[in-house]
Amino acid sequence: MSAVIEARGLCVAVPGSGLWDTMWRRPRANILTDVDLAVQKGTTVAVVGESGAGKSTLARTLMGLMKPSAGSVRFRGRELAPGPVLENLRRHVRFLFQNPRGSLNPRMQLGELVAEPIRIHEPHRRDPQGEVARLLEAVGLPSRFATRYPHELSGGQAGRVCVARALAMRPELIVADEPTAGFDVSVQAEILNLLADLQKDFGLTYLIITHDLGIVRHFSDSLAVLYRGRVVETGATQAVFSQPAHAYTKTLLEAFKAH
Amino acid sequence: MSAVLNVQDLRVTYPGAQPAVRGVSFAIARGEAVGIIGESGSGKSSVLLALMRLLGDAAVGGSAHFNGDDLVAASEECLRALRGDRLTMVFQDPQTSFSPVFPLSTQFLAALHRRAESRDAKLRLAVEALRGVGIAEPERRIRDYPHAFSGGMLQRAAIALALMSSPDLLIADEPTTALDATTEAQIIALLRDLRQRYSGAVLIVSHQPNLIAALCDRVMVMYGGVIVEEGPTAQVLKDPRHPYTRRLLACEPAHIETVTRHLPTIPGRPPDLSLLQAGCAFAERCLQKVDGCTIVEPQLLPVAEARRARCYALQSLA
Repeated sequence: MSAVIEARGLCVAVPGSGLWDTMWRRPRANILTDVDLAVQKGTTVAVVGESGAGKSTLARTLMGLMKPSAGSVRFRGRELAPGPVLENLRRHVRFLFQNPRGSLNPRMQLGELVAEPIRIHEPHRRDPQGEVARLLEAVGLPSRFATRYPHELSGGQAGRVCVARALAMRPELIVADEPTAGFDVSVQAEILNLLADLQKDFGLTYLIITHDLGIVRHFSDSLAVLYRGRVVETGATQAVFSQPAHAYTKTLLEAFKAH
Repeated sequence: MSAVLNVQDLRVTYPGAQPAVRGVSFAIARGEAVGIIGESGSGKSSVLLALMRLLGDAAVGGSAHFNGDDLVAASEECLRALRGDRLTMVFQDPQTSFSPVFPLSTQFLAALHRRAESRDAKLRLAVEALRGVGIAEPERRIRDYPHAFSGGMLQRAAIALALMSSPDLLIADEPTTALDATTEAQIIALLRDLRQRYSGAVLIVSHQPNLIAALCDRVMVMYGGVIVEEGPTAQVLKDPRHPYTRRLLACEPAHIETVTRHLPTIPGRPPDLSLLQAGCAFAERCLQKVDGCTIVEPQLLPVAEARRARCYALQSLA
C-alpha cells in the first residue's frame, strides 16, 4: 500500500500582527505542530477536532494552499514544491468545500461549471459535453440539468454538482471539508452514500474533515484526532472508537455517545 | 399555565398561489422551549416569518395571539411596540442581521430607543448582555463594527441583542446553520446555558434534530406545510411514531448502531404544495401507505400521553 499524500513533522505558523512581529517577521503562534499524517490509496481518512484545532489549516497545507513553516508534504512520494509537483497535485487532488451553494458561480450553467476544471487542466480533452453528461449521471443528476443555474437547485443537488466538478479530473484524492454541514439529515445521507458509491466505482481516496463523529464512525477507515494543532491520536476507526488511548479522544467520544 | 403564544390554523400562501403553511395550530406556555424540525421546504421558516409579520406580500390567515394581541391582525404600530422588545428574533445569518455601517453600540442602543433610561444606562445594559453571551472585553468590543467579529461571535452578539430586553418570546430561525460546524456546537452550548438564566419562552426552527434535542422541551415535526407529529422532545426523538419522523431520524448517522457505508435515505422529494393531491402530503414517499391515505388528509390526533400525530396507520392501532 502506498500513501497518496503524506505529511511529516508538519508545522504551520501564522505571522504575528503587531508592528514588531511584522518587522521581524516573527511568527505569532503555531497553528499546526509536528503533524504526521498519511492517507493510503483507496481508503477514507477522517480528521476530527474542535473549532480552532487546525483541521482546515491542515487540509489547506496538504493542498499546497498554505506554506508549512517546517516539515514536508509528499504527494505520491514527491515533496510538494512550486512547479510540476504542485501542478500535478492540483490536478489529481480535488477539494470539496463547506457550503456547496457558495462554491458554485451563480452566473454559470451547470454544464459549464462541471466542464470548467476540464477546460482549465485539459483543454484538449475530447468530447467535453459527453463527459459532462457522464459526470452528471455519475452523481445522479439527469443530463438536462446541464443548462440549469445554481439557484434552481436544492441543497442536495448543489452538493451533487460539486462532487461532479471534483470528479471531472478523475482525481486520486478528494479532500472534503465538512462536506455535509448545513444539510438536512436526509440530504446528508444521500451525499454520503453517493461518496461511498463513487469510492467503490472509481477507487477514490478521501480525506474528510469533520466534527461529526457519527459520519466518521460509518465512513472512515482510519482517523486522526487533532487537538490544538497536534495529532493526539491516530488509528483504525473501529479501534479508536472501541479503545481510545488519549484523554481528549475519550472526552470527544463520551460527548458523542451521550447524544 | 397560561400560553404566551397561541397559534390557531395559521396559513401562509406566497404570491402565485404557492401555499407554504396549510393550517398550523400550537401554543407555547410561559418559559417553555419549543422546536420545529423539518426539511427545507416544509414551511417551518414561513411559520416564524408569519409570526413576526415579515412576509411582505404573502397572504397570512388564521390567528396568533401573543399576550392577547393577534400578531396576524395587529396594526403596524402595535407590532413595532412588540418586536425587538417583547418578541425578538435571531436570524440564520448574523452577517446580514447587523448593519455593516454602524458599530454594535449604535445598533444595541437603537433596539432600546423606547426605554426611558439614560444613554449610559442603556449602554451598560448592552455591555452586560454581550458579557452574558461570552464575548470577552465587552466594553471595548461593543464599539467595533460587525466585520470585526467572527461569524460565531457575531451570532453571540445577535443572541445578546435578542435577549437584552428579556422578551416573553424569543424566536430563532436556524440559529446555527450559517456557522461552521464546530462554532455551531459552541452556539448550541451557549443557548443551552442561557436557557438556565433566561425565563422567557423560546421557539426554535431547525433541520437538525440535535439542536432541538439539546434545547427544547417539546418538538413539532413539519412536513408539507403541516405539523405531522408533536410531543415531548425526548420521547419524539427516541420513539418517533409518524412514518416521516421515523425515516428522517433514521438518516442521522449517530443513531445507527451497526457500522454501515450505506445510510438510509428518504427516496423522492418533498411535495410541491401548489400541486398537492388530496390525502396525506407524505403518502407518495411513505412505506406504510394504506388506501385511505391518498383520499383524505389525516387529522393530528393523540397517539400517546401528550403526543399527537397525523397518520392513519397510527390511528387504526390506537
